[in-house]
Amino acid sequence: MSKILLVEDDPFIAEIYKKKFETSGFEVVNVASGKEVLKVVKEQVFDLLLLDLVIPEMSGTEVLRELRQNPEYNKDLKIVIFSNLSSTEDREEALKLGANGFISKTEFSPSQVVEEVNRFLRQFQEQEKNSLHRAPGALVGPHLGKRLLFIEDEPLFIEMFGKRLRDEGYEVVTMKDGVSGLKAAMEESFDLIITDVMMPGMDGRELISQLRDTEQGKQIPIFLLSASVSMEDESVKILSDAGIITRAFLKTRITPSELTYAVNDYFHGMVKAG
Amino acid sequence: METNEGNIKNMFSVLSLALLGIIVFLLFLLGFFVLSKGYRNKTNQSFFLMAFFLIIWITTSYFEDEVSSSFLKMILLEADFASAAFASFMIFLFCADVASLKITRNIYFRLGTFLVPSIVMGLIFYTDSVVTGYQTTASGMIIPLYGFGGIIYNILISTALLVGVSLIFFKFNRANSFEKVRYTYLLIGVFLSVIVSLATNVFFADIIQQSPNNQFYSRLGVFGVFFIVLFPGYAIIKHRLFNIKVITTEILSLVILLTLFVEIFLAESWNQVIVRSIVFAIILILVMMLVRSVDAEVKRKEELQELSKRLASANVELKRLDAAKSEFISIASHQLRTPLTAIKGYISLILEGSYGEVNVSVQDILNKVYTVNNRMTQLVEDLLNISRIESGRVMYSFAPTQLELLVAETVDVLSLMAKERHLYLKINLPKKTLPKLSLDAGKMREVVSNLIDNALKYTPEGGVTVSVEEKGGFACVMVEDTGIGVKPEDAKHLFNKFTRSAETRKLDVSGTGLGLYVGKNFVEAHQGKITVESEGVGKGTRFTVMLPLSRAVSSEEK
Repeated sequence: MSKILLVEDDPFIAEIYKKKFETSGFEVVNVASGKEVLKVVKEQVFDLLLLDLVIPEMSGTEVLRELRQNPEYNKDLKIVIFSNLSSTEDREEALKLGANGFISKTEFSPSQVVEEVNRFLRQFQEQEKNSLHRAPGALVGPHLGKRLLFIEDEPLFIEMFGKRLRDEGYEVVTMKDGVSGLKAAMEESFDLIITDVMMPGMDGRELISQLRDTEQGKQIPIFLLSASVSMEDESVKILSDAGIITRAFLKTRITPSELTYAVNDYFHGMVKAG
Repeated sequence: METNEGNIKNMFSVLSLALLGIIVFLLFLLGFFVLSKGYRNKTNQSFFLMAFFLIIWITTSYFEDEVSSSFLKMILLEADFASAAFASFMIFLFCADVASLKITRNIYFRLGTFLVPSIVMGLIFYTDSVVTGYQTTASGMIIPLYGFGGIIYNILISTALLVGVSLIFFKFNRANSFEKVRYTYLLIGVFLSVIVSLATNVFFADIIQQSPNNQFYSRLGVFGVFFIVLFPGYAIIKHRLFNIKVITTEILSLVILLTLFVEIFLAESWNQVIVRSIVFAIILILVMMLVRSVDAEVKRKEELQELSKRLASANVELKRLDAAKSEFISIASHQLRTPLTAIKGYISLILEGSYGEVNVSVQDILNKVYTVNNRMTQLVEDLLNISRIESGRVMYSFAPTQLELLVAETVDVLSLMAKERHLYLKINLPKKTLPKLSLDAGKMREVVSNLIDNALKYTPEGGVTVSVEEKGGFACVMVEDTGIGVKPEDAKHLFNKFTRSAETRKLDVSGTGLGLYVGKNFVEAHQGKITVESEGVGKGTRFTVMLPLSRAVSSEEK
């Protein structure tokens, strides 16, 4: 669970955001002034500080400068500016002072803010992990000992999702169409299959139904990557409801990292269940 | 008695001269009229030539009997033979043109149809091979005396005519219904001419021989060629060809008129001549009126048909375009999603440092790009939703829903937006709880949320009041604002696709103009209505969503 510090002086608005964050599984601490921020960050550890630029007592910029320049404060604290002020000058100044990101209040609804915060947190986490990998003497990458079959006709997606999964430590075999994908799935053994739905020749749905009819394909978990506009897409929903596929994702909505986390979650779940 | 007979005989020659005059005049008129409809058209040209040579033929064959000079008689007889040769070849050419044979485009073929009768003409005028002379009958008619080539001449003419007519028959059998009408005219013309000439020369030949007026009747046969020209000419002029009923009416009228006309000449006394002439005149007027009225009606009908045909095809075209547009949107948005997904994925990887460390200001820019890309994705999905709605592929899942709760939740979500814009957002719920309605909660929430969102966006000051109430068999959700209002002329189009009023464009540039259209579709899928009222620009707007209470789910069912 991530813990965030929200700086907001209007109790009504603060309440709405707090509720939103809490329902998404965050722990939220709300303070109303800059002085309070400086006090609270010394006492508790936060994953993220959501800092408004216009706050009583001290301006957001002053708080930011203090946090970054005074060695008393933890430099690892991630600070995202969350403000109505979003001119290029405001953004540049905040970033120069050491802010890690910027969320313009007017551009996002409360639920979108939660999404943005989630994204930032993931981004920070990944950045850290990637910088560790690049450190001299660090491992090239972990070996998780899991084999994935990734069936997708778009070379861009093979490269993009494939890279992220390999970076994570998975062995990824890629196939460019349904027919060769099905062949690979029957001849070799995989821990998980990720397949596209719309493909020339044999599409994902047909591939799955044929695979499920075979002895070796009956049990293998399948993630479906759909390009379709909504998860309501009938056939995907039916497959999902019937438990024929393990999970379904919408390509336009998922980043490579999110797909990777879902794969991680699946294998972790297996470990726990096992 | 004798003078009387002589008078009648005189009258007959006057009449037959008049008839000749009329037919020649009509042929002439018809020929030129058709040519004037398009003198470059090959069929029109051959038609004109056919009429022209037929005029020469019937004129010469009339005057060869009438003139007294034997020298003139011989010249006219030879001209008669020559023009008959030309006429028959022109009929052949015309038939070939109507049948649209490929060979008619060949200039040598066309010249050939002139060359052959030209040679024949030379032989007729300068040698005795075809006609050597003539005999005069008691009644003053001339009978040509054939030379050794006479039989060849007859065979040549008959072959040209037969081949021409068979071409039409051959084409007629293979023609589609539209072309058939065209050939029908030609066949009717040929048929009538043959009937008349057979009647005068074969069936009633004996009667005619014995009749004192044999001269007139035998000419009637010659004049029968008029039909050969009349019908096709008519068909060419009337490019819009009538239905068969009109043709029948006209032919029948013509037959009646002809019978009556002939009867005048069969009269035995002056009284009868007068009576029959009067009857003929009356019938002629009636027939003319009948034909004219039928013609007018047919014209109206044709115009109507043409209009409705155009309308129907325009309609089909519109439907096709609309379907093509939906299809296009569907394909386009599908294709658009691939690059959008790639942009999203790669930017996220860059931001996460998968391709190396990125400095903070570049990260900030990339975050902006990421957000904009997400908005683009949403836009594309909206477009695709439209095409889904239009092709009826939206699935609704109806479930018992408490409308007040749904509206209250939506208001809750949007209260922050109101607060940030310094607007009030109030909600009025009914005192008496509404029954649960069978609704697609997700879609209904989208509708209400979109209405409130719009109201907040287009209200500079004041605020928005949302009320739920029961009214006249409907559960109503009203969203009232103190905003920019709607012009009456804009209100009509507000629920159309991609419509945004001029005022909204000034205030906010991000709308696509799809929200209300989608909302209307969703509400209508619930058998409901969505309306807009506004006092005018700057006087606020009220949107009302009406859902029929017949959708209420009774408590027992739950």
